[in-house]
Amino acid sequence: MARRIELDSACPKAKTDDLLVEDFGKEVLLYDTRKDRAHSLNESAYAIWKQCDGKHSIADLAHDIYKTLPRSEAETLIQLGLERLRRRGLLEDASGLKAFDLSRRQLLRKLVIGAAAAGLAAPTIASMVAPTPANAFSGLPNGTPCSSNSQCQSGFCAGAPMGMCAA
Amino acid sequence: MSFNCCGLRIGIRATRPGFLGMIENRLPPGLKPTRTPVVDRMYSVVIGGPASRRGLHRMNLLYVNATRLVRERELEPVVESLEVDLRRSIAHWAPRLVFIHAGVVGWRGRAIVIPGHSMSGKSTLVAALVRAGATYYSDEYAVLDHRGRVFPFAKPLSIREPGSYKSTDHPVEQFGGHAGREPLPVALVIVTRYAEGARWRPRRLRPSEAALALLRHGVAARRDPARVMKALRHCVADAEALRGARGEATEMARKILSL
Repeated sequence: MARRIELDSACPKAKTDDLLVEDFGKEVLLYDTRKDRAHSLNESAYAIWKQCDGKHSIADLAHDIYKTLPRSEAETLIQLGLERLRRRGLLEDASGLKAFDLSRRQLLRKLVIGAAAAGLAAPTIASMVAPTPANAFSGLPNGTPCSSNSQCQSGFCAGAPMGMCAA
Repeated sequence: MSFNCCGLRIGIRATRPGFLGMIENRLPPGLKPTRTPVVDRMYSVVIGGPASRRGLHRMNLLYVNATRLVRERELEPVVESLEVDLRRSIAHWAPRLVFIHAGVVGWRGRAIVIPGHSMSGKSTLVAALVRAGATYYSDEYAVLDHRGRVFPFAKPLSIREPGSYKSTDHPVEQFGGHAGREPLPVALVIVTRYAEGARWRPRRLRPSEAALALLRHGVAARRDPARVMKALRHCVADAEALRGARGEATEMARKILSL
């Protein structure tokens, strides 16, 4: 039996503290300065995040962002977007929101295809941990055989002349 | 002697006269001599050698500011460490430019940027692009200004021998190419790594995804994320970005330059 998704009346609020925002017009790059994580939000995810002002409900977001889709599909896509934002710590106090099961691949696939058919994108977010300078330098990674400090990303070759790059 | 590179003031001093002349061709590209007595980073090289007491040997030392970086019996590892740390310091601390760990070539007045970790095949691909007629900008750093233009950082290409972790430096002329001099806007960002037998079937990246892919290799990403992100937004504004595994470099270079 398919699980009925209960809609809640919570009005989600986007996190803005400790967040750097670089606006790409329809998309956005967010940098969480507390966790040193960066997130690229596509047009739909950005629209959801922007409208999470603590005053708009899920139904409101669905109506504004996915107005050409049937209501239940639109609201499910919004819940998908909110779950993706919540998992990345981009919502403030998301305890009022019901968790969305992201492992339901068939449902997600159907939603994404349905949205694409209507010329819309499902909300997607790509994320990464920002590199430390050592991670971004040229050089061999830790644990690689080396023969001098200058070969290692860390700058430290343990046991030179024939050692391993160490932290 | 003091230098300025990309806005960073660097001093180098040694206990042996003539040392700086010995290492002149190993200094990073773009170092301009200055007369400033005040520097941001001071490298001090203490040259070792036999001691006056029998059986003792004075070691070669390298300091940056007050921190000892290296202590070696032979001088060459000290010079290598100086060379590497200079490049890294410039990449991390340059106040006005953003350094991304990437290979860069120029083609038809615009830049092709290939970000990637060490051993992802950047230098090999850059060498293949240069052989195919592109202008060499760097095999190590894409150097961006606040408008997202790429400046040359044309050190000798470091190519690894197949199956080895060791690399050797090759001047760009060995590949039949030459180094660029002028800043270029970015036309193409290629996010790739070599995989034996791979066919190039890239996925197009959205602009913010392209910026994220470059930020992943930003040397100052954590220290100054706002400045880095702003430069990247300008950098990808008019660029196409593609991601996918690639096969042999020569064939890949041909495909890239025909895009």
